Amino acid sequence: MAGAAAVLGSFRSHDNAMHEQDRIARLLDVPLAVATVDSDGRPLYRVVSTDTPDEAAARALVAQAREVGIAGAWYWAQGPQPAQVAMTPKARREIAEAPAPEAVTPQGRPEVTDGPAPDAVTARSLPGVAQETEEAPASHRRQSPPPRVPAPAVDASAMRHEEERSAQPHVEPWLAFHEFTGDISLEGRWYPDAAGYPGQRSHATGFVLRPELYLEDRAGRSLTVRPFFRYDAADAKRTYADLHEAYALLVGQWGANEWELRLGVDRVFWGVTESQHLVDIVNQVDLIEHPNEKARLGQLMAHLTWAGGWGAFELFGITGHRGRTFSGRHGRLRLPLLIDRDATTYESGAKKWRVDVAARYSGTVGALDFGISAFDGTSREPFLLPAIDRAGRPILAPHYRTIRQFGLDAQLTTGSWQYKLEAIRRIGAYNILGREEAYSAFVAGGEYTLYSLFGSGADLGLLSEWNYDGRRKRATNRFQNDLFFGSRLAFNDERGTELIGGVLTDLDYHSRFVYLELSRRLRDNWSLQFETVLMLNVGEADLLYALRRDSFVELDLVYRF
Amino acid sequence: MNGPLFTSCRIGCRIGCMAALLGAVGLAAAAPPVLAGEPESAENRGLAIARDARERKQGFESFTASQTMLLRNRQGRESRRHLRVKVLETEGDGDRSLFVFDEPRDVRGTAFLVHGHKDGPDDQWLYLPALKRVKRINSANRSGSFMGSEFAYEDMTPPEVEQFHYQYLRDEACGELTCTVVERTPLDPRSGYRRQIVWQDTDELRLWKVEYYDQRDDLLKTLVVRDYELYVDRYWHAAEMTMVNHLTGKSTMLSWSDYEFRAAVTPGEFLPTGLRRAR
Repeated sequence: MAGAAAVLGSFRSHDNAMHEQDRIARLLDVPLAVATVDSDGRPLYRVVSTDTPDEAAARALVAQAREVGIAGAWYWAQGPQPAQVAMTPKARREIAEAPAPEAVTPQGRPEVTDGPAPDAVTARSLPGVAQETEEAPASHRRQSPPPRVPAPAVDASAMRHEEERSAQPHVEPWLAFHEFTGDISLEGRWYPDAAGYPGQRSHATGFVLRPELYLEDRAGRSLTVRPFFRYDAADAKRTYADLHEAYALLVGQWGANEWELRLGVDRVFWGVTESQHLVDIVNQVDLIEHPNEKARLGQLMAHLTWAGGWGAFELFGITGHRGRTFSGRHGRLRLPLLIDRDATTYESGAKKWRVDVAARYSGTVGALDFGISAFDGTSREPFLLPAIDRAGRPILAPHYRTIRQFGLDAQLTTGSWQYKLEAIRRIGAYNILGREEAYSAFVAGGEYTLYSLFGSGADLGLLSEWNYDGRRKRATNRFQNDLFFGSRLAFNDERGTELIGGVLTDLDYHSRFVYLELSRRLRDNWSLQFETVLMLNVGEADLLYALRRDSFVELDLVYRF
Repeated sequence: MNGPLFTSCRIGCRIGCMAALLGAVGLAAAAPPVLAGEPESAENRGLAIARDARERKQGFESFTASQTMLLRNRQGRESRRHLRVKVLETEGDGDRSLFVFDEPRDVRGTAFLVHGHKDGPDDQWLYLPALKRVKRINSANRSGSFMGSEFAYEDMTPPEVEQFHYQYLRDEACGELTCTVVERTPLDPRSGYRRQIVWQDTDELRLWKVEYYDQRDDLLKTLVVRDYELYVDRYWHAAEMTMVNHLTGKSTMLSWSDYEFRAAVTPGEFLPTGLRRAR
């Protein structure tokens, strides 16, 4: 088994390798085996020839394989070690029947390697130039030690490395790769203005823990688990845990196309714009995280993707509706009345267990990236009904309608410009008056980037987006007619310093929201982020009038492990 | 930590140049160079060398590798970048490249996909794991530093033959080898350089050294390449590339490791939807 071999395919999945082995063995009518090698810490399964005792035979088989369309066939001088090879019964039988090939030693590599044998031939410290890194260029004529370029010498260290890798014992036979990572963030948020409602605190101090576990088996199937935990000293409702992700991932090829199946809790993002994520509907907004409505909760679903050069088609089966999160009594950024999630009602008789379905097609045509989507299910946006809780206090009770939404997102990327559009048509939702009203809404805008600003190496991006909702004053969200201007200054320095700012102006109510974010790495594992959100001149008729005293500044210190 | 106001471009704006590193590594096929024996103009000779070097890089099909960048400032303080690379050669069009960042940790899991095109600009997508968002990004940004390193975009763009005007200068000894020395002038007015001088050995046309002159024609940076290895009997690949900035005294050493040709990659990994599971 040792010595020269032809490699006719390499696979992460053992099943795929076995399948290809059978196919190619039939195609070429030669005995084959699957050799396991270690690559990047994971096993790699190579379909190799078993009956090519010398270089000439192996190269001939490579040529033959390429002729029948196996373009990736290549000559492996070293060949697999016996321990790396698992043969099919057929190959084993044929080897047993065949006379022992003379050119092969039992212990691995052939005794004689003539010709350009090993995987890598080295040419270290070449010509003169190598020593001159720190100097001015004029002295490049200086002689240096003779280069080893033309000599096809074996790089002994590389060989040793290879042997060590192949000798690695596999502790868990099914587990090919695992990783435990995550981050912890200390966060302090301070609200300078006096509270508007009784019980509200002027700070939100706490921490966030986000571990991530990733497991992958030898067939390339993986499991990802990403829980989220926040502790908040001020608002008990903001001390909470959520399972952001916990899904199994299966991938396979079907002809020139690829399929991917994700089962479990996951997060999905659709869209292109920055001021709001209008089309993105699969995951519930985690509003207690941040008022910008961009944080999302995990969602139980089955998600099938079918992709190829023609684009991607995705199908979702979703259940276990997640209710939107809201601040508690001691928290800021809330309405005068508390929203009681225990009083949630649904239009659907199946309540949160209605099976929602969604589909999306996305593709790229030159400079254009686009997606069209449809969703049929329980709305992520609640309608808030006045109610009385058991203690007789007035509250707001979330009510989730069953809706249908069609979405379009598109981005045209040319030169230094990006043009963006998101649009939806939503049917079945209540307007602010509590009446059902079908409506359309869109976000349209552009982003321009000035590269290497004033020769400094920093980039400045300028962004403007117009948000519009056909219901206008009957709209149930803040983006009924709002203009956003933003800028992003990336210094491109060692610390990755970045400054982001923006102003969202409500053209109907003249409210103004100012955002500023500054982030910088401290050391490799540590980074610091500063953020401020200012609510200026919030009009009395604006939906966000209740938040007019809730401007804040926030400082986060993040450690990643 | 609540998700940025709008999508951070911390590495996206500058990440594109990594594709480029592939071009600068000096992949070159082990075939004799075509250097005309007949006298010809210095321009034509320079152009012929550039075309020959380009041809030798083709036919590799796919490879995977790891890259480590060591950034060092004048005071000697160092910081590291680590990423993994996968490249798929396509028939009739440019290469497809996938980059996954491991370090610095704040960009870990960020992935970057490039579909190169023979005619016209590249298509580039960025995957931001915190938002699970795939984002198309501009490929027009050619100048400036990559993640604070001394490598700029245009240093690393696969040197498209048509992007320069060439002038053959001389052949001279470089160690045991003979190097051909060519001056190339960027045609793109946005280039930060007035000219570059390139040393390639006459045996294999491996790139060994580049001098970059700024618009005032002062020597700005020097790139030195070393430790070439031959892969799959055909392709020369450098293991170490060091860029020194003579004005600032900063340097960046880029090392390649875990290099594997004709690796187990599937076309689906190089689709925007495949980007979501890059890790």
